[in-house]
Amino acid sequence: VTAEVDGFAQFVEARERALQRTAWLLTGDWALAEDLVQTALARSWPRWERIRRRDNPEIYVRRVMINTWASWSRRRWRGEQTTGAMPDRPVPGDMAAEVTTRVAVRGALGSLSDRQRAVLVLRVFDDLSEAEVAQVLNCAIGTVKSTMSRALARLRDDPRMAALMSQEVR
Amino acid sequence: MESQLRDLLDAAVGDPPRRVTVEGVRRRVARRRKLECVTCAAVAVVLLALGTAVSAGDSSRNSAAGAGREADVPRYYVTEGYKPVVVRSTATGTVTATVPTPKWTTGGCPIAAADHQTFFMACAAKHYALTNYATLRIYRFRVTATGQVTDYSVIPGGAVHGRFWPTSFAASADGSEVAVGLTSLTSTFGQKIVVINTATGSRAFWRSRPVPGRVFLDLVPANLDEMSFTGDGGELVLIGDPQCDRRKSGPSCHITSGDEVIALSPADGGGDVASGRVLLRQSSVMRPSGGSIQSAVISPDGRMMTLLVQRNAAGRRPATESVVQYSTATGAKLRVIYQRRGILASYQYLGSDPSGRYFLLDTGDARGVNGWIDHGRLARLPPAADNLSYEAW
Repeated sequence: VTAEVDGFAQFVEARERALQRTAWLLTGDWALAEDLVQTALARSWPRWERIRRRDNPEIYVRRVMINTWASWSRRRWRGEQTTGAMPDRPVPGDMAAEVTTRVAVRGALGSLSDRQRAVLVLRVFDDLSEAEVAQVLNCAIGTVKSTMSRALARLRDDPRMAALMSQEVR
Repeated sequence: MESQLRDLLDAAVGDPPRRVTVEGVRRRVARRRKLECVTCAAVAVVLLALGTAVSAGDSSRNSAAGAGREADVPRYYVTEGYKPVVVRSTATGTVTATVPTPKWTTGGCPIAAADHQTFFMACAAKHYALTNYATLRIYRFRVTATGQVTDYSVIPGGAVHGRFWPTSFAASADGSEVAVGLTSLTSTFGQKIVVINTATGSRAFWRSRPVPGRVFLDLVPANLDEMSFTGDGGELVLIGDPQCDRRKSGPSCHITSGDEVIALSPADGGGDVASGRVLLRQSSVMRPSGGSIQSAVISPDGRMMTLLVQRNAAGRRPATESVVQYSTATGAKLRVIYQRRGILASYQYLGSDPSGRYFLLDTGDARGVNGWIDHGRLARLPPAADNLSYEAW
């Protein structure tokens, strides 16, 4: 039992940052991203012994994450609770450029459908192969290709992304 | 555009403000379980309130579901390859113990599992001084809950000498009988099967040899590797390859049916393999020229057989290998539990655990894999397929 838990702990230790970054691109919010990763890991933990026997446990965890996020997206009430204490604190330095990029990317990703967003993030950001993306999303490779193509076309037409990309080129 | 987009996404994401820790995940799991308990309790109260009839029906369904729950995947398996015979953990593949094998062994040691703890092993040595003469010893050992080997001994009647070589091995689920397939060292045809009672050491022999005027069953060594007993040891199932012997079978002998899955009854005390009960003919599964039945494993209750079927490539259709289950009563195809395309190996192994639920599959060739069939996919196990001779769990 200890060995199984150790394997899980090592996986969390090694991959939580990457999972959280993917989750942010899906949710656009760090608190939600953390919540999503925690939920996906909590759902994977009871089955960890079986999952770890698979070739790549991360594919399974990412699938749970995407499915959880998809179910959250469909839900009208997302479980947020209001609080009187604001956890935000002022950040040091001038964050204007970073914030501009973040807002633009978040807005552009928000214009995509859930599936397009998932495919784009997994394929471009997480650098998964088309076959791996298909495995995570439980769909055909052809579906991944066509969804990716549509997502890129939509981002190309997005003026915010166009502005950012032209800056990058310069 | 994709690399530009990747840079943009990377810049936009930045670093998470907080880390996700295992402790946090554990707390969440505990919260979920507590919530589930509360929900279950609430549901139970509601069900009770609905009345005894409803709750009685509900409890009977629950008990049926509990009874149907799958037995656990065997924790350990025993393998023999170019390295010694070892016990490995199914979960991690790590070696937990090495099984002692006699130093004089010059060939492999086939392994068979009786239950999840009791294993048998048949080791042979060829005597070079005495031409075509071999010695076989059959050992029994137990694998403990921690994967260690205990109670290692030669079984009664487990020392056999003669002009043969062991090619296959099976044990009944209660460990009362073992069967060894023996190939003659002196003639092309002339295999036999010996069933040994592990308590008394008594033996019963079945022979396979050319019969004048008719087809006889040739027990091809590769096919002999997968014999299996029904749970009560009442039947021994194996594959035979019908052959015509030019000299003895006569000119009218010809074969149309392909491989046959046959059942022998150890209670008969021996005899001719060809007199066994035919459970299935290859011609009822596919054309004999279209491929072959590589392995057949009988279920503990004898109602179902699981076949490893190879189909040759034809036209655009690639070669396939499938693990398919058939009814022994009707011969009807029940389900396909594993399939892969495009690769055919000349030697493969399929075996089940004593519960008949979990199958080990060694796909044989260098590109193939060794593993167990887990809901349609092959969960890999070490060692690799090309480094493995025998395996059991």
